Amino acid sequence: VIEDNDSCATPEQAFEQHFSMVWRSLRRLGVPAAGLDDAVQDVFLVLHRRWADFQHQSSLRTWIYGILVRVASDYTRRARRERARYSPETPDLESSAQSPDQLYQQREAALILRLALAQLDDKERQMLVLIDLEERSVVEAAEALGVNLNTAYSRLRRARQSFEKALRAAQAKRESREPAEDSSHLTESNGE
Amino acid sequence: VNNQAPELSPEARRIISDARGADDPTADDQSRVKARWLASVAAVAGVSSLTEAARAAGGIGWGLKVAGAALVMAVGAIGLYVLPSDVGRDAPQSAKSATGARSAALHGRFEKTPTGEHDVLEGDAVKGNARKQSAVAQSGAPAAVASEAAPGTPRAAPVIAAAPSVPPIVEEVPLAEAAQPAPSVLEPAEVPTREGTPLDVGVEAPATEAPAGLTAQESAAVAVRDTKVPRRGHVAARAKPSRASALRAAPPAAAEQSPVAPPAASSGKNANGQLGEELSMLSEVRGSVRDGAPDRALEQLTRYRSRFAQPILGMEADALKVDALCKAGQREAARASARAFQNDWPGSPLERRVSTACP
Repeated sequence: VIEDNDSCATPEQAFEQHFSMVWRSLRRLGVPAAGLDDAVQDVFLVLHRRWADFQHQSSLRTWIYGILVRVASDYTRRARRERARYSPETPDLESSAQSPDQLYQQREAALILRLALAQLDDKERQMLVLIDLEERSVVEAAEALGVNLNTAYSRLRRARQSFEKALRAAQAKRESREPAEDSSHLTESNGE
Repeated sequence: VNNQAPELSPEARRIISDARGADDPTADDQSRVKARWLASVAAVAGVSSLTEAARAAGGIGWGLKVAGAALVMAVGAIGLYVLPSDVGRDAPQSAKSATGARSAALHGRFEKTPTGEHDVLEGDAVKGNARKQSAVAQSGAPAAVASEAAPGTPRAAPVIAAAPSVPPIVEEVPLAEAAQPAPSVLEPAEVPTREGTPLDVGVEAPATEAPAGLTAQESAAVAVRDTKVPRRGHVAARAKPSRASALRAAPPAAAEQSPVAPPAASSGKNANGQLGEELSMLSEVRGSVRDGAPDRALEQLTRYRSRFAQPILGMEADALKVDALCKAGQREAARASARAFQNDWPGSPLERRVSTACP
């Protein structure tokens, strides 16, 4: 990853540099689409307010992760309270059937991913998103989440196990609903 | 130490890789959120710049709308807080254009937000301000705001001085004008021409009675004049001790130069949702500590804790608790809290401040 963040001199630069990551991660951490704008804004409001306090003890990116994880859990908690439990919305999938193959495949994967992530508990999900989706190091994730390295590793182990399981369940669910033409590929291509 | 975790299966990696990009924002998403963020920042922290907001908005349409929104805040704030001073001279004329800008801004916002939910949320952030300001604008340029029925044109300082928990003064003002055609959207966006004048309003202004007024004044001036991208430190500088007398600022132990981030004096309700509420509750706490009422601060913190099971600003609340305990003379408890703080928030940017708060 190219972004070497500590070069951000202003909150605005931080926004430019990290917006996509914040947006995407919040989404994957379970913030509903309807609340995404607000959640992202909250993250950067906190960032702005604390800018003067940020002392480069960690990297800016790590610091932002720390903020966004907290904002995300607030939003998902609220969403969960509203619905009985967080479940990823599917509306964009309806339209995806008409999309070109590749786009379809991307969206289908994204949906399965989100379905699977939704099955993890918050802490597992945070770990998985940071490490396997955002491709951060375990050290960085540990720092962002405020846990020690051992905890981070054991959480990551659990997260990956749960994720694999959830992923298979999500795929099965998708296939039973609308068998995709390449379903064989989707299911057990790589027998483990 | 077991620094190992099983790798993900190839299938899992395939899904992740296939899904790459699917959850990324579009350029529109980015401009939209950035515009809103900057507008909130302008309202909340008193720092922003029109051009930056406009630029952030990317598209000309958004640029104008955002510039309009920022202008509204700026002008409104001037009308509200600065009229008595010499800066106020400019208010009426700007207020006129602000009205157009405001409705344009609101207009744009509502177009842009298809879902009802969003309307409401955004409304909190933007409408709140726009309305507040519009009521103000009315006092400056009644003719321009004819359509607006603001109950009791608010007077500046008192309103905000009471601030942290005070709901936006003009909450009740119907948003009728949002539906109106926006007259000359372009004009308002062009209005602020005074850029370049470095501003130092506020810092030396007399503060104590109407501290928030000062803040708002400053912010208004900033918003209107400061067309440069805020530099790092800019924000900080303003948030620091020089401003300690202002409502928003520093905890008593401003000894350390990192006040628990400048909260939003006038903004509590304007920021979105929980964060906004937290902001306003914590700035009350801070106010209590500063005013030498640590017991009240501790009560407020208790309320805050019971109100938010998982607060966004929990770290700041914990830091304030140390301050409050110390000031209340419960030094042992303060030190214990400080130690708990270091446990709970390892590597916190506030750590240094907390650890030296109660020597």
